[in-house]
Amino acid sequence: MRLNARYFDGSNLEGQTVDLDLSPSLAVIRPVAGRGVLPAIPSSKLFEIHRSADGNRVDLGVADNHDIHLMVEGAGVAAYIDTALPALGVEAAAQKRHASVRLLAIAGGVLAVLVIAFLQLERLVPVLVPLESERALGERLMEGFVESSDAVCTNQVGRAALTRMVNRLSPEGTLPIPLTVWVTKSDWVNAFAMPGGQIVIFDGLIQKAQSPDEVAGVLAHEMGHVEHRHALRRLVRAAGIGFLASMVSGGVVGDVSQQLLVMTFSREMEEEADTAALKTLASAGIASDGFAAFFERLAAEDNESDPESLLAGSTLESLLATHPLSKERANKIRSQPPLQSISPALDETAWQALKGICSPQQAKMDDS
Amino acid sequence: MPSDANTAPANAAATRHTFEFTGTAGEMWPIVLKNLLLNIITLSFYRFWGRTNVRRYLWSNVRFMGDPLEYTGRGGELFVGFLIVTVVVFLPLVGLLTWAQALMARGEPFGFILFSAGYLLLLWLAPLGLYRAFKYRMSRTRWRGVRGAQTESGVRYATEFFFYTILTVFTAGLLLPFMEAKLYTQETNNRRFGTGRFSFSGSSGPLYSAFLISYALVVGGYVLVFVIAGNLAKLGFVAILGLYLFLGLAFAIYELAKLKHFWNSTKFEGAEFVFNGEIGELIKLYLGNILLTLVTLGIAYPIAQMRVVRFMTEHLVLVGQINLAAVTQSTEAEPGFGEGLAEGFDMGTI
Repeated sequence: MRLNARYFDGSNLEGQTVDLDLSPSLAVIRPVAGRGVLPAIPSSKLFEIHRSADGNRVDLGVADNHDIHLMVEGAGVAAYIDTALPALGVEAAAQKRHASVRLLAIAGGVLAVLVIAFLQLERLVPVLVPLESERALGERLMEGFVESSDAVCTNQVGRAALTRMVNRLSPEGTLPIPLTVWVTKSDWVNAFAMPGGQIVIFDGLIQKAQSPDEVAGVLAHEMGHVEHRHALRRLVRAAGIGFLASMVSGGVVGDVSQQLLVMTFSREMEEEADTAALKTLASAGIASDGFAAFFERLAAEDNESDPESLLAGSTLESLLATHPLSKERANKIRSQPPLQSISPALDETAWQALKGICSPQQAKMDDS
Repeated sequence: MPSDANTAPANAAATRHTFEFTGTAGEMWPIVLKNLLLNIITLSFYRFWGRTNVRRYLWSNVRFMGDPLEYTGRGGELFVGFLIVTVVVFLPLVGLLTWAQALMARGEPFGFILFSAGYLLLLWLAPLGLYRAFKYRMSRTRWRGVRGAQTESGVRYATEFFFYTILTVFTAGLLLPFMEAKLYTQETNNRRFGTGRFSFSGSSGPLYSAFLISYALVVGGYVLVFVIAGNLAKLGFVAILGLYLFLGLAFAIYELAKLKHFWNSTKFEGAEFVFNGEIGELIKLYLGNILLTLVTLGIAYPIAQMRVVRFMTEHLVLVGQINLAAVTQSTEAEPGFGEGLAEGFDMGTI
């Protein structure tokens, strides 16, 4: 059957009327005006741009040559074309599918490279950000913190004890950045390291501790974060991941994935800080048993209490939430070789003074 | 010779060239739902291909002089555009802004300068992205095998947009019609179909009466709210929604004036466009689309777009003779990828 069609090859908008002869292998096109011969088109390359609802019109395109349009009109042409070309549309779709798979593979590769590059970005922090800048940033951040909190503990005897402990753990020059340790009046059992050598300990942790060695262990751990500049690296990573996640997902899953990735990576940092802490404790001659015991006691208490409390609490609320105690971690701390000469991190008088760091005092003196 | 004699009177008679839209919501929904499903599975990475599916359907159902448009763009091209712009533009920009913020945190004034410069750069990049999207879409639009084109790089467009926006802000929005007419002139005069040219001969003058009515209604609406309720926070959700609806409808007056004046002053190769929509129809379109999008939480957005396309095809006519034989294939280069920049600004919406 010959079909009446109009043929356009992109050379102009007028086109020409043609006779179209369709077979499963070839579409032969003859101009009605009889001048010249038009190139035949392999039927496998034909695809359907559109067909009218009444089936009296089908518009055909050519998969690898968008210049060509064939507008086929006549009663029942759609039904006829479906019989003459049973594979119409499928071939073009198959080509597209093939291209899509290739593109998805490329996309996956590019994305993986991007993600890896982003996760490595934080490693540049020690190279790119000078210590003075980090110090200044930390001071800025703490300015806001100290201003917003009237609960910074300043009991001078307590501060003196704290200073003694800090100096014992970190004699002059062992850390790249000078330390500033704050204690704030709060029941939270936690401590964290900010950028630029700023460490904050919540009084709840000091009250919970049963010996000065336990506080020293946590302090040494936070100093490990300072030494490796984890706080700044975490900021950089969180910003990078957040950006990447929102780019990838169009903002749909950004927050969730960001939280997950930040959490998992902070574990790696915790291990690094632990290693540094054990070294610090050893060189200061303080037993690491207190460090381990403190975490184990917290974990035991946590199991007895409502298991949901860990989930319900914010990440800041529990030391265990931000410092999950794994078997390996406990074992690593426990398996330290015994030190030759050890002494408590603070003597009994100084330890009592540290416990009272948040109690009011008569005369205020600047002791920082 | 006989064919020449036949075509001349036929063309003379058919000087009203109409558009037609043959798509239906019933056919669009399966596309929308398939895209939604694949977007969820692929963490929304499918959106480039999904958008392409929607466009292919919309384009192929638009008929001009009886013949359909063809959309020849590919999802992969949009995706590559997205990747390139992410690496070349957005990552460095985020780095710059982060650095600027770090400097600001340290109290260095240079940080503030850098930060402001970064944001001004965004104001320039957004219209550039829009123009690049025009370029891509025109180049991927075929009718009778001939493709469209948008000439120029978009740098001039973005620069004009940048300065006019600043001027408009400083004149409390009163320069908006002026700005929009200027930009529309540039868009239109650089638009081609094959070798055929679009041209715009209007100006912002005829827009101002409608604009001032819309402007007065919007300002009046706000003043009323502040006088009656003191401030927006005291209003309930329904009242706020009502206010936004009112503001939107007030602006429909201006939008309609724009559609009429812009299209009625636009020509293609000697034939003139005529837009014959009326305010009631436009408001009906807006209300329907707002409702559709709100009720389906945005899922039905492509359906809303389809309603816009149908509205335009129903109300737009091209009047006059076009020498179809003289319009030949475009010689403009086709961009190899598309719309990454617009995507970044959430403008690759159609």
